[in-house]
Amino acid sequence: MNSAAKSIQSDNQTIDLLPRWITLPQAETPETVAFLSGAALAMLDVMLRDPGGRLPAALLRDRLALKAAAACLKLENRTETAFDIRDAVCLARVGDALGPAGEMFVAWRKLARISLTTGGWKDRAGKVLPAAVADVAMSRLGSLSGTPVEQAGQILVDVLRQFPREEAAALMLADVALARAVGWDRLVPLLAAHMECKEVRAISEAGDDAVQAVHQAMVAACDGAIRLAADVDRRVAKLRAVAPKLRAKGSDDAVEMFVSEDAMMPAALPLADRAARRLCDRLVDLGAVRELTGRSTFRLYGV
Amino acid sequence: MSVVKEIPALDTELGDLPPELRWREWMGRIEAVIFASVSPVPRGDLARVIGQGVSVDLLIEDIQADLVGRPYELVAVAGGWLMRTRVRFADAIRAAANVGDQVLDLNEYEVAVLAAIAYHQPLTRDGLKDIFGKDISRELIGRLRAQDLIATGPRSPKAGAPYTYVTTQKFLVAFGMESLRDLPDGEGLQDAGLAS
Repeated sequence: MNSAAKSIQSDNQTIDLLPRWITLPQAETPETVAFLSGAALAMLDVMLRDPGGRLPAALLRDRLALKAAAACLKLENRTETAFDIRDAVCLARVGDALGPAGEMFVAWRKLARISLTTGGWKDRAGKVLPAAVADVAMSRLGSLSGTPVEQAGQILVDVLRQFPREEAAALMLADVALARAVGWDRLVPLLAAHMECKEVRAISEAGDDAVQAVHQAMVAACDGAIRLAADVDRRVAKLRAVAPKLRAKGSDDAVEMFVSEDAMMPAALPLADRAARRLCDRLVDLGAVRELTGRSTFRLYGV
Repeated sequence: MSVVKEIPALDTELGDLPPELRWREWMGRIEAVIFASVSPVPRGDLARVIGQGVSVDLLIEDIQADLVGRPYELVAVAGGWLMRTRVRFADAIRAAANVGDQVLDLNEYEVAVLAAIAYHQPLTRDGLKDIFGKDISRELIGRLRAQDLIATGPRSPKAGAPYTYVTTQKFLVAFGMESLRDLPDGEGLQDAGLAS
């Protein structure tokens, strides 16, 4: 019975970051990187299984989807940042086109919300991907073999070699393969934000097999995801703590939205306009949510 | 009593034909469907007229091989396939017929505005002004919108929440692109002598 094992079970559990022996840079032999990525993934897996049921997993996936979308836009030679993406999805009204940044994020977000363990998931996932890629890749998903990270690497390389310009779709499929192989119910956007542009180009243009790069990216991705989880977990705990103080009608629903979505305008909350703005201001004063843009108008809020 | 005559389901498997003829029939169907459509035909629509699990790509490749040397071609644009005349016959077509209302007929300046929107979308008129150093008229924007090359995107977080503009599927089709990913990157522009 060591103390580390105990802390994982205790009630006011904190999320343990990856131990230093996994994240410290080491000799980059194929064996080491594969071993370390496996260890990192196992730690992330334990965290995501979340026996206490308190991890704000939806919010975690939404924030990871934002990072993945920003990385994919960069791969497509676009200049939009995470801030531009938030503006595009939050400020679009019904009927407006979202533009490339908004569409990229919405694709990741949709994919991360699909349950990968219920029937028909392939069709739903296929609709998010470009049709040509989906046709080829969805059947390929069933024939992958090896460890979860190897499977992710295989589909990434396969898709990029056949569709060198479909980096986003290839990275989405890699995360799908990973989630399926580990047995997660939903995709966790991991690889996209941690593969270097030049590593992705090396696969699509030079045909590299990329195993090493994928393993290294996976260590960084697991580290990043666990850190982000610790961050949103702490912020959500704070929000939950102040929630009973909120009296406004609809504030419970508003809190639930903050607990599952990256960012929103007050107008998106289920309260009257002015009440929604007041609620956001109050939550900021209480330190439970943040204003994410630094603007004085068209503000966006999130935990 | 139903008065609607039932349309017999299309025989997609063509089990009674020898393999060679079956393939030709499938090729014919794909070419016909694309020929009949004014907008790019997505893969899913094509898959409905051929046998289960048959590769649309292989059929398309065979059709394209047949069309080598013909004045028209079958191309992949904006998530589907489209038939169009080859570019080198443009002058002949223009000389022979009044195609005024089909031709986009954009002047250099309009193309430049369109390119600015494509690269920097979502972009407002103010954003365009920053790029071109002068106001872009509402008329010009209106013309691009009327031709369905741009559409309104998310509002900009500026005073007055002005509309932004984004490019459309039609834009991709008009410029022969499958997605915005096909826009020339910095290197491509330098090679073409358009950027330094």
